[in-house]
Amino acid sequence: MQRGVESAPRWVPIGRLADFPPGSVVRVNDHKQLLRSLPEGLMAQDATESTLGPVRPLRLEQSGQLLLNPTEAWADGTVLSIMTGSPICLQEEVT
Amino acid sequence: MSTEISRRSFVQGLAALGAALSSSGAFGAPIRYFKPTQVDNPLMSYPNRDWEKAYRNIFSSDSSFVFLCAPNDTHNCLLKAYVKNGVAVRIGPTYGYGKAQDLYGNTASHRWDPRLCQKGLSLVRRIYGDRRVKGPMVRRGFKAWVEAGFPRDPATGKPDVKYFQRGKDRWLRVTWEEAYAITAKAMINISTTYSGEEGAKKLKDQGYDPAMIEAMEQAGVETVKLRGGMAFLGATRIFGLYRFANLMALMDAKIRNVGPDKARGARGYDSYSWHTDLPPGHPMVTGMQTNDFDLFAVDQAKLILVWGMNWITTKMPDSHWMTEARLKGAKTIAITVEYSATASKTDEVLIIRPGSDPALALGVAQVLIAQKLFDAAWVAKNTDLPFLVRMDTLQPLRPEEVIAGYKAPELKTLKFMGKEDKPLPNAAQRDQFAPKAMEGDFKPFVVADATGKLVPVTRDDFGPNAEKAGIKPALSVVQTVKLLDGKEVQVRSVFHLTEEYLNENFTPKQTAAVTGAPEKGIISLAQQIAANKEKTLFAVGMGPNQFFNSDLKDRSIFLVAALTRNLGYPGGNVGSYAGTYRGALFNGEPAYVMEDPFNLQLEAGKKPTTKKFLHYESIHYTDYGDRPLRMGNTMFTGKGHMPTPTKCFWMNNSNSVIGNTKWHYDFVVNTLPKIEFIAYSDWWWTASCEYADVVFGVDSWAETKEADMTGSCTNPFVQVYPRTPLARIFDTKSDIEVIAQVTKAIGTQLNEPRLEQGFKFFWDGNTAEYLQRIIDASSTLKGYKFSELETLAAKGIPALKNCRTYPRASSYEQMLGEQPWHTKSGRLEFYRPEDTWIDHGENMIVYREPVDSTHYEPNVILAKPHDAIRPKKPEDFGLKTSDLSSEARQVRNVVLDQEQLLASKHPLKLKLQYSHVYHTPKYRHGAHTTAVDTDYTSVWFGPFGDVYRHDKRMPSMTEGYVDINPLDAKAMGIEDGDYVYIDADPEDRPYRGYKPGDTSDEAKMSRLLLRARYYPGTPKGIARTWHNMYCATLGSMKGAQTRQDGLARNPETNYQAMYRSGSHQSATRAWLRPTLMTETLVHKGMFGQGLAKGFEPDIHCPVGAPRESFVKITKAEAGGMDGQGKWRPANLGFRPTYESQTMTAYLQGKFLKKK
Repeated sequence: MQRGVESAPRWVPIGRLADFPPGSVVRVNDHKQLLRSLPEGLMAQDATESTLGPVRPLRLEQSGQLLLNPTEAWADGTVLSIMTGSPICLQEEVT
Repeated sequence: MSTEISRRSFVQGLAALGAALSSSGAFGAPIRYFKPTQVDNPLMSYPNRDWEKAYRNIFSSDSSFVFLCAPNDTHNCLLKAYVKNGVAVRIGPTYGYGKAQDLYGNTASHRWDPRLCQKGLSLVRRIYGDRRVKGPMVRRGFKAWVEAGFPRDPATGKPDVKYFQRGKDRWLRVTWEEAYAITAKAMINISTTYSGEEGAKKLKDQGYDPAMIEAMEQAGVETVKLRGGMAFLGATRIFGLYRFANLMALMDAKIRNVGPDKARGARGYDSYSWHTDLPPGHPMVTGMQTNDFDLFAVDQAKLILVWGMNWITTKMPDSHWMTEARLKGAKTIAITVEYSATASKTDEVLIIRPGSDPALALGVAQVLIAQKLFDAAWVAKNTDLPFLVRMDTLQPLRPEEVIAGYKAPELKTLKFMGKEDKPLPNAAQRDQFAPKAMEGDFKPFVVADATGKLVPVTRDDFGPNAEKAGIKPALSVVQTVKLLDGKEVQVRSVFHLTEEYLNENFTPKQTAAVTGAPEKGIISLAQQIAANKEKTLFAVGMGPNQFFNSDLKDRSIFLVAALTRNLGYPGGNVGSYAGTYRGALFNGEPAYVMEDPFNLQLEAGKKPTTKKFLHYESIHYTDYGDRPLRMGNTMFTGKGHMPTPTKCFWMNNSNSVIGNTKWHYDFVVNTLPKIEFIAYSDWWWTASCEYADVVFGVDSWAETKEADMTGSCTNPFVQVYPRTPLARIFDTKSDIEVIAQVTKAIGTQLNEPRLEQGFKFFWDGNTAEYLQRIIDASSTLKGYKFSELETLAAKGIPALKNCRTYPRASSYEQMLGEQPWHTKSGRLEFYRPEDTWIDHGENMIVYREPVDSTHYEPNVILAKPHDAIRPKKPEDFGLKTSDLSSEARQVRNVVLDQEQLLASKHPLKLKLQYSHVYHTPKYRHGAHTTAVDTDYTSVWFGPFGDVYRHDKRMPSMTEGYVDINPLDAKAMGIEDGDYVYIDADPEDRPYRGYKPGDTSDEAKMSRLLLRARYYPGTPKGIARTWHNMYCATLGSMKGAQTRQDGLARNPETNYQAMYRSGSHQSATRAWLRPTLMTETLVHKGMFGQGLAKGFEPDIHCPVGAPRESFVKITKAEAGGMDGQGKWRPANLGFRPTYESQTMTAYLQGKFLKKK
């Protein structure tokens, strides 16, 4: 692959933080992922009508733009903390 | 011939030349054939310059907009933000200040432009910073408490501590509606719980002082406290919390089922006095909150005294006025405790011992009097110095005591108002008035003329009136008079009493011994001031104001100014500078804040009615452990000052109440657990947010969606926050919306629709109606249309306040003789006859040592025996003279003469070998903590900035440090750059109950650990840390321990500390001063011309003493990388006492040679 060029965009803009108030569940990225806004943070998962797939990384830009990476995966139960911009694994906390 | 060549051919040419040189074996030989290129115009000659576009592109923008930058630094600047791809990428000045006009078309000069400082320049990094509060956040434990229905101990009402793990808990994002509802529920629950007899009993069981409970009059709403962070910074959005407090009378009416006659509002906290910005002696002398002048008045002066004010660093957009005045011929003198940035710009410098400012001023006064350099005629008609004082009672002699049949005439310059009388609106008030109940406070005085004849002087006999009445008092009077009851008493004039005190204690030699200033400097200073009558400006800063003796500093400086006729003149005046405080400049503010909640004016364009339901108090009591000052057998806090128990508070736009509070760790460890609900509205996650329960994320100044308005005490502008086109970056709301929504939520839960109506014009999208009401009711603004002000502001142009003079000058009308000062006598008062001052030996202006920041016995009164100095002894208050604890020192009156004082020692020096006065002033990189941790700013803050954090011990990319004199440090075995511990009085700091060696999280968090910097500018025995940096919290400690990068950053919130542990506030504490808590001081009210007595927030109340601490400094770790060896700049020979040969040569000027 030529240096500096990627075959597909890794980070896809999906909206702004205010678009996802806590409690909301919204399909994003051409309906390929389900984004759930939890009190602890935001979680995006691949979703068909009946199944949930891997949790996808999210990133909150300092400009307020929310980005999703459909090509990589976070551990199950991981959310993006809007306070720190870092992932938090809620399952680890429970265990 | 064309000189143009292409870049390609140029490079090819170089390559060919290189090949030729190497192949010919000429490499290393003289390049005799390579002649220098001759290019007449490189801009015309050089090849393709497209690369420059990259740089131009950085500065290009798609659009721009104007916003107002307004931290609490007294400047306020309309700035232009440049936007690219929807992001504000850089900030610049608007160049609109020179276009500002007043209502009459008078225009400001372009000397006001450009207006901007480095805090504003770096704001883009903060607007988009990683600590923005991005939405409404609720602490998990608090949410659980609310959802569980506020469970409490049935006996005491205390909540279970399991819900209150502040600083350790997780934060949850909730919807805005949920945040409003939670806040409303909590306020209703707390107000209900502590209402009535049952509520009072619970508070008693929790251990609150009975006087505090009594002050509530069983209204639980009085445990709810609100504070707008320097309210003047936002006429509607920040003052809005005080409007909220007044509206809470509707909540109280519902909860206690009472009518408007008995309903009470919530409590409002002070601002200006809380920040120790109020100069508390100003109302004692002038009756006014603060006497000051616009800083550009220096243009009118010939001598400028920059006294304890680091003007160059803390007043940056206005620092040019000082340097320009000097260029135009004015002389400048810095009075300072170090060789400061400002000192380096002045003609003369007088360096004094910290906290000895009153002594210096008294020494100057002594020279003025002894050398007869004062203006006796001016003093005789404008001050109380000729008034006679009875030596048996220390009270003023009254005409009715010595003149048979004397009847005081009715006063012409003061109107007394009965309870039924309604004062004119503030903007229409020209004359002074007072409640009829205060009539007895304005009795006439007596002076003696040159023949010894006693002459009555009324409050009307000030200035030219005294001359017209033929009153020609002698100044220096001592005589015996026979009272009408036959008793003979000695009387002395205030002047005579003062003169004796000065001659006995403050000759130049004595003053030099106490202050450290040279005798010649003291005499020269006095003579220069005397030679510049009406032309000397005293620009006094916060340096001397942050000591316990600050009121004595004010009183003594006013004495010097009065003696030399330097008060109220455009070029001769006294000013005090700190904080954007002067709400009185918008004296129509009550039309918004105090609108009667039971009779709201819901029609736009109509005048509202006002009624005050809120009560104010000072946060100093909350900071003091939520206690009044009760010591021994005495309550020192006056009834009008009495705080109530604090169960809930809500602050906006301020980090000064928890995060950077004096005695911060005591507040966190001992006071916070008593408080049941804490809310903050802010756009930056501060240390205060770390310990809150609800944090509302609000818009930054660049995202303003509701216009607002502010002003300043240092410049002549009214400044509007224009609405901006920048889209909200995160999930934030405007401050005023948050307040309106919480008010509405309380109304919904209590079924009280008037609460929602309390912000009707916000709901109507017409917040400007409230601003217009304020304008219409303000003396300096009426005539303006808010919409027009906002249109101008959006273009970067402010407007001028319509003051009588430009620059504005306090005491101007008094100087002209048109109005009396707002005092009992109508004159400048240098003698305070009220009991509290007599009881504490301060009826005359005396010098007291600092209460902690001294090597000598703290807080003692310096005086040889004097008939008029008769303070109560500690035993009179039920204390012991031998008790030198910090607590007891607040009220300890012990008199020592100079020899005794200088032979004495601070108790910690005696017992524990403590060695340094430690003070914590404010610096250029922040207004309090605002902007100091913005990366661009912090890395330049001091010498330890390092974006790469090569030394992983660093808490952030910079860190707090203490400046120590190099010789002191060497003697203590401390190298430049080492980490040191600083410990203040172990009895109560960092917090009450702290035990050295304690391994609890709280103890580890609280002990101050920071870098030491060798700084020759600070005298021996004096150490300093700047006030601005963010403290270590439980979360930042956790971050430092658990994060891979070792940053002292809370992994839960991103809060970033700038200390590994502790903060500059580890060494400070709350101090309450009896003479600032009286019921008796007469002064002007906040707005208008009315006189009042006793407590008034931001005018007569405690101010604290945040520069007071005496410490031990101990080496903790070596400063070299990872704790090994010396700090690199010291090793390289760049630092004081480590100079390399080269550095030494440089310092000796040997890099330059004369030919």
